[in-house]
Amino acid sequence: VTSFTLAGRTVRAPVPDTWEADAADGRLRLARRVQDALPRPVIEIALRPAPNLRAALDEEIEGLVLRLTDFTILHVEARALRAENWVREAPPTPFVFAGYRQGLYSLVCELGFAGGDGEDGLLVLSVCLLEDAATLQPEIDAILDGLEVDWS
Amino acid sequence: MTARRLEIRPDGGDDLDAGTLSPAAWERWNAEAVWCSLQDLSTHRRELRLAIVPPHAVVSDGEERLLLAATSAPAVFWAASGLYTTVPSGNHEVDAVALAAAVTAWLDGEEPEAAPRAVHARLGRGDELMREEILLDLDGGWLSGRRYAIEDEPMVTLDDFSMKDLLLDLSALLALSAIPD
Repeated sequence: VTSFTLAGRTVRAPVPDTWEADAADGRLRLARRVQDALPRPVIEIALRPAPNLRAALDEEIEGLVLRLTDFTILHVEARALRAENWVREAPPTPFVFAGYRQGLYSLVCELGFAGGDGEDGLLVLSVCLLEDAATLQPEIDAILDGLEVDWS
Repeated sequence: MTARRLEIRPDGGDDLDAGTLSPAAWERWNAEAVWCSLQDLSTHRRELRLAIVPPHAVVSDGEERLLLAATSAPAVFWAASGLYTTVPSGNHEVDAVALAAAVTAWLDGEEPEAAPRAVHARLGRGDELMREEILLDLDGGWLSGRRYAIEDEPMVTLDDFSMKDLLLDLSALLALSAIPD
């Protein structure tokens, strides 16, 4: 588990051997090392204002719809992440599983909040090629499950 | 590579890139393909099908066939499918016995007497069927009916359907097919 500072908060994330992490511009970016020619599996983590988590999630989805080609929501489900990441009881905002196209590639992504203190939320976006999704799922789950944020 | 129409004609050749295949060549190509099929059982049995043999893929909607790059075809397929799922799909007050009977009928190629809108979902490679289920549309949420054999006794189970789960199975099959036999 490696510690990073995002917007003045400490965020800890497991970084598997095959992944590299970089914190810049208020975002933590974990990327898996693969061939340069292919879109890399990436997990982006950021703090953002989210006094209303549902509205914040809708806003993020709207951004993806506008920016990505053929962005399609495919599935919505709750993800049981670390309970201590929530200052109050974890609100029932779901994670959204969606797909889109990037050039010649079909990518799938997951978007949701992994924590919140009532004012800010820890936003998580994972992206990978459909062909990699099944084999990478355990690694993505392990990173998301291990995310920690200090609100104090 | 952009999407192009693919025609299957008796005078077609053996080269997929030419955009026209003979029925025999089409059959040979499909024998190697990883494929996923969604057949609407309620509306004229229309079938949306994705078949992949890298570097090519074919997305079929009935008799219309589009030839695409293998990497870009899944996005076309899932966008065209219109399937969107949540878990749980809702607290449906379902008549499980009646739905199981409908699933059994559909899996046996028969028409149930009364049933919700349904989709026959299948996933496989060549002749090998890896996954088969009947998706039942209940107020916008989808249930999945699958048949198992327990000690030779066929049983139907009904669960929430997850589009994510189906795509992860497709992903696993594509990853496996990338490894030479």
